[in-house]
Parts: sequence; structure tokens; C-alpha cells
Amino acid sequence: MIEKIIFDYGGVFTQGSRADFVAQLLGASQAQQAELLAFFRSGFIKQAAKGEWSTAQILDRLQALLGGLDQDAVHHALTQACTPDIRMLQLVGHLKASYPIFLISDSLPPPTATPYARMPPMFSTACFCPIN
Amino acid sequence: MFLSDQLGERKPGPLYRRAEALHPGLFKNSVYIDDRASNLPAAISRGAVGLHFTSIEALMEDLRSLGIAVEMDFGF
Repeated sequence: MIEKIIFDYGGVFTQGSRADFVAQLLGASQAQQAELLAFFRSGFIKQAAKGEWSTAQILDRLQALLGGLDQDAVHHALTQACTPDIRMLQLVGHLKASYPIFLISDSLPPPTATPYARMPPMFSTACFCPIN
Repeated sequence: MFLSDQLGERKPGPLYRRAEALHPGLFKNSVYIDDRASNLPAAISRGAVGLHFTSIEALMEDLRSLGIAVEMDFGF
């Protein structure tokens, strides 16, 4: 018997993958695609998802790669790429009436923090436990 | 919520273990939904029914097949 439902976030609530971040960033700047892709593939994703990069460090590095593009623009592009599908929010809102809902996510602080903060309180947060 | 950058571990195994330490039995009798199929076996081995997310339409059908009522109309 199903008692609870656990969701991933990226690729489920958001459509597309982290490669979309790159595409969106490229659309907002004149950065070289190869350079950005190399950075994303250099271990950045794994390290950032483990919390080894601070938000400021991530934005500083991306800003530098993007030729000094305004940091707010970088943050905005990342945030937009992680904005959840409204239909998924509606579905989870529906399921929450009958099941506890959990979220487990390999998360990157800058792009996910804003969408999480804007999302309605639909996830069980009883076990949320920052380690920093 | 169990967020990797705050728990310091990535999926599947390490983050799942951290989540279970915080919420014992988390995966037992659960449905676990992920777009990466490679993340599913570790959840299934912990007692979850794993669903590979490809679209919201397919997810709703999968949930219905598990007996979970999903009576929503998104126009499809």
C-alpha cells in the first residue's frame, strides 16, 4: 500500500535538464558555448550539488565565464531555468490531500533557492536539516 | 525537503542514506519519482516503487496504475 510520495525536482518539476541552464545563459550573453560546457562538465555540477561551492562562488565563476555579465542577470537566468511547471505544482497540491509529499533533490543553491522559496508549502519539511 | 547542497551528499545512495537517517523508513511503502532512471534502483531497494518521469501525462497514468487517484484535467 502506497503511504507517501517522493519527488525529484530537476527534470520533474522543471522541464529539461541542466544543459538548459547553459542554453539559457548563452541566450542572455555572448559567452562561448564550449567554455561554459567545459565548466559544467569539469566537476562543477557534482561539487555544487554537494554544497562545495557557495552561491557567491558559483555566481562569481559564471559571471567571469560570461564575460562580466551582470551577476543579477546570471542569477535570473539560472532561476528562470529552474522555475517549476505549474501543472506539477497543481498535481502535487492534489496529491498532498491524500499523501505526505517529500522532495529529494541534487540541488544547486543559486538556481533552486528562489523557486523553492516561492513554491507553496507542499512538501514535508519535518526532516530538513542543514549541515552547514 | 532533502537538498543535496545542504545535506552534503548526492543521489542516489549517499543522499538517500542521509534522508533515511533523518526520516527512518522514508522509502518504505512509497512511490519515488525521478527523471533519471539511474536513481531509481537505490530507492527501489529501500522499499519504494520507482517511477521514471518522462512527462506529467505519463506520470499521471503511472500513478493511476498504482491505485492513486489523480482526477485532474490539464486539457489532455
